[in-house]
Amino acid sequence: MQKRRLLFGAVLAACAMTMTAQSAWQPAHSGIGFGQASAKQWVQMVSSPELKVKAGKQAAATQDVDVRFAIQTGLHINSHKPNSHYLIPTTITLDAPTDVEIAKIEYPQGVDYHFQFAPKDALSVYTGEFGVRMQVYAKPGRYTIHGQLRYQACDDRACNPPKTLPLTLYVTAQ
Amino acid sequence: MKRSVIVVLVLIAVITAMIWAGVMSYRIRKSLNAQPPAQTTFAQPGVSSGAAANGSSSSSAASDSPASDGLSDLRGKPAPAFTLKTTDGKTVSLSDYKGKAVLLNFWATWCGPCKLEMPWLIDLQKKYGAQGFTVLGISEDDGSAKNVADFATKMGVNYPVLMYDEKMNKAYGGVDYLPTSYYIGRDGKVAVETGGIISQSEMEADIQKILAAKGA
Repeated sequence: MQKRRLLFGAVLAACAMTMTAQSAWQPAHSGIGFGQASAKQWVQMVSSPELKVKAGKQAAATQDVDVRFAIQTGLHINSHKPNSHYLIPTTITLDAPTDVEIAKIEYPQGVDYHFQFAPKDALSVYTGEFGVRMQVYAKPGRYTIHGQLRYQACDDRACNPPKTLPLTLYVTAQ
Repeated sequence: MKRSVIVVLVLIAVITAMIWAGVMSYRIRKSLNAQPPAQTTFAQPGVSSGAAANGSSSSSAASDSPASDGLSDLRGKPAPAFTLKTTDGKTVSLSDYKGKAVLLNFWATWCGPCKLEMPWLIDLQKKYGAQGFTVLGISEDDGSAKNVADFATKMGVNYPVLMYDEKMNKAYGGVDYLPTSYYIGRDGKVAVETGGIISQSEMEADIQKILAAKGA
């Protein structure tokens, strides 16, 4: 019995060590990369994709749900209303099925950001975490909503091309 | 008897796996530590890497920085040839500038730091244009060339602005970190690469470097 336990422990330890060694092959990323950004996302959805709402009988009976996102440390993305029309705003587009209506999407206000080389020019950006509030109306049922978050990330010296984060939300209306 | 054989075999397998894991871990650490900074050109955003060919001093960057991933170091090598369209539809090739010092500046209208350095590029074009120097702006915008042209006009750009294509982008290592600049000497070789915004004085120093170098 003791032998078996010892054996089990040894196998577990070996598995853990093997996994550690393999994970070392994956480079750690903490900032915008060069030539590898096409696959890398700088923003992730951090709230649950499961949204529970009270089923409504008419479109006026919308409810607010929050979806939260986290931006990689050291980066910022333009807010929904950047200070120049050349800058790419953060936007969410959702393809809601019949019986679900996204009445409104409310974005948070951006915070001012100044590049070191231009302390007088303020950009309107999101950093860290930010939440987007959506007014949802749904008839009773469970629905899958596909969509995307479009954003454009920069660090303190450079920018990456705009990216699209695919989103999948599950709405349960009871 | 049979059970103890199995136990021994499993133990051997476990020990082998542990040794393998240790060896792999050691190799990875060794290879990471062995990378010379000179090969990690873009390892730090905004750091200017000096010419490999002339051995000029350059700011080195941490080899484990993500910014170096996937970039081919072009320093000391002939700048990849390209032919692109300007925002007003004219065809321009790098070979048109043979014997000149060229600053290839990748930028985009949506890139804040690119916009910041644009007035500096304009100044430097004015200052060194007569000495056989030119800036070539490579717009990475996917939108219309007119939008790019409008932006450039508004900024007062006094150098050619070309619309990028994938082939050219790939030849320069898949530029997706803007601004990125390649300083090409009169001999057609890349002398300096920079990723991210640098100061105007650093830019000027790099331009003087490529102007001073002898042609082919």
